[in-house]
Amino acid sequence: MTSRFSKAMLLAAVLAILLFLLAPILVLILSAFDSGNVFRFPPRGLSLRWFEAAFNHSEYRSSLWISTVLGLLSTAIAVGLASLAAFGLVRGKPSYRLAMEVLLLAPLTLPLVVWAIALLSIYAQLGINGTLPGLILAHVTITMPFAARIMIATFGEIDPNLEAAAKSLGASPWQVVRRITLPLALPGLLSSTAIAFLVSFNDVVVTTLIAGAGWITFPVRTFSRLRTEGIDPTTIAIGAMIVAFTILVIVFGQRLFQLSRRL
Amino acid sequence: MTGSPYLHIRSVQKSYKGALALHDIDLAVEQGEFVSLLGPSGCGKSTLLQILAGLLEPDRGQIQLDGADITHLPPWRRNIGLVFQNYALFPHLSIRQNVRFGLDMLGMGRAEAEKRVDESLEMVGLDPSLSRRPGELSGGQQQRVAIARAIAIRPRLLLMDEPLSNLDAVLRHKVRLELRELHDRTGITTIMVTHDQAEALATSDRIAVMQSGRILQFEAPETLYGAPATAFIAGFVGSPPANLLPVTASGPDSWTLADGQVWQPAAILAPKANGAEAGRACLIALRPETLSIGTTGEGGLPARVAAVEFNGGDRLVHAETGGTRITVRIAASQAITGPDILLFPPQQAPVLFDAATGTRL
Repeated sequence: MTSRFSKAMLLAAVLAILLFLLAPILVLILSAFDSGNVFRFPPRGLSLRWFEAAFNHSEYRSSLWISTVLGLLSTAIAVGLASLAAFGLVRGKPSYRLAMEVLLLAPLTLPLVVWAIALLSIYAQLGINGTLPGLILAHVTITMPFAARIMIATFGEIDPNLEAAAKSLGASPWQVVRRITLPLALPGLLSSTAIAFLVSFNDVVVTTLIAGAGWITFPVRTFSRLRTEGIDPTTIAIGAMIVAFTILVIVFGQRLFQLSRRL
Repeated sequence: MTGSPYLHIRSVQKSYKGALALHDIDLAVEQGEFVSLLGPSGCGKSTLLQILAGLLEPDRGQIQLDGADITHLPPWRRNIGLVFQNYALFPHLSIRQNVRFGLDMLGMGRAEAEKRVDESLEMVGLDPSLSRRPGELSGGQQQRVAIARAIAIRPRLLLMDEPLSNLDAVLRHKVRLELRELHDRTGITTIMVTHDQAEALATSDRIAVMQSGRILQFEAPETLYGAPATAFIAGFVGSPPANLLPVTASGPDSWTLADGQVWQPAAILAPKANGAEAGRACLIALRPETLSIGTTGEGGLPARVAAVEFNGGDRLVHAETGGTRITVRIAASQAITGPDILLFPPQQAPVLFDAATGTRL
């Protein structure tokens, strides 16, 4: 009897916590289908008009484009560099490995604003403020810690004896990488790519300070519109689409590569 | 290259972070031999194996294989098979793909490679039609796949690093017989690293006993067992190993035991016959199965029985003599009369070591 009661209590608690965590997303998605001109909840009429508006909104379209390109480029660089660093640290086992790992993860420990201000002053000196290369570099800086952390765990899980066995069977270092290390590291590579892309895509703070007016990414655009015009249903529709996209990425990542195990 | 050994390790030295892992190793192995590197962990046996595989480079010295210097040859050009304790099968490849890996690296044609995979899997007693992933196999089967993978490339040398240590006791015994049989069928020169002396004795033509980065003795199992070069080997080889009885020569005809008791043995065991001057501290190696137990007679060691183990075919008697614990193996049918017994060493020249250095007298 008590066990059934405690089970029910546990279930209630779990549901309450899930509701607390996920309710905002629910509100967002339901409101996106509302027909009204202003944000309201619960929605009163059903419509796809704000999705249409979002697709026709040229500023949003260009911002989404910028965010995507920026995300892809900075992710590619961050994952590439992080993989090389992680492989060297895990396989080379240098005496400074621990210190290096802490340094690689350092950007995670400071508030992003502090980080952004530091980058701003450095980039101003270098004259790359407000340029696309500067922005990419800044995004590499904030995404690399995540990628490095996942890749260190990934390579750490690959038995070095596998590489030694392949070598003894006649595989050159490059063949070892191509036939053994890369296939085994693929789940980790895809996980770190997904995470790095999401971090880059979601960033407002660093981008606002570094990008200037030239490169307005989607979250920055949304944030500035939010402040000038209040909550715009178009923004909500785009938000709902991004949520759908993110959920898709995470569900696939989890099903195929156990994303959460590597974080 | 007649006259020179098939595998010749010459003055190989290796240090790790300032500490010497291998001191001046010399070892000559003949073609077709099964050699074990035996020693406790940290003795340098795995380091030596890695140097042979080309995974580590020695600081000094030379390795010759089949007349050619391979010291600086990278592992992928050595054609040396490697088998690991944890099998190290490629988890993303099927069993057949694992065995075929080395053949693909050689650029062997598909038909020939497939045939070679069949042969190799059959050689280790596995069904060649096995289409599963390595992770779905038992430990014993995984190790068989790893061995098949290593011999598929027809290696010039087969190196095995503790190949049986991950298997349970029953399987370990079975696979070790299979290893020897496989070796006899293929004739591949084999070097196995192990910490298990029984494993080394059972499989090897010759055993190199290692301690602290040095080879103490390199001999056939029988020699190692009957004439150990050092007290360490005597106390390490055999199950149970030899008893080492600490004694000090108190005159030409008698020894003083650790607790001060004086022992007057048969003439052949006395200090005079063994060149031990008075005051010399020694260790006498007494194999458990060579000792006999009695109650009366000349030259016996007075001992007190502490425990008796019944092992089916025989009994192990653990007795205290002169402050030292001695193990004796007797037939299961022999009765122990009481706690106070006499131990009689065999009437033959004893194996005697200097107590300070551990070397043979």
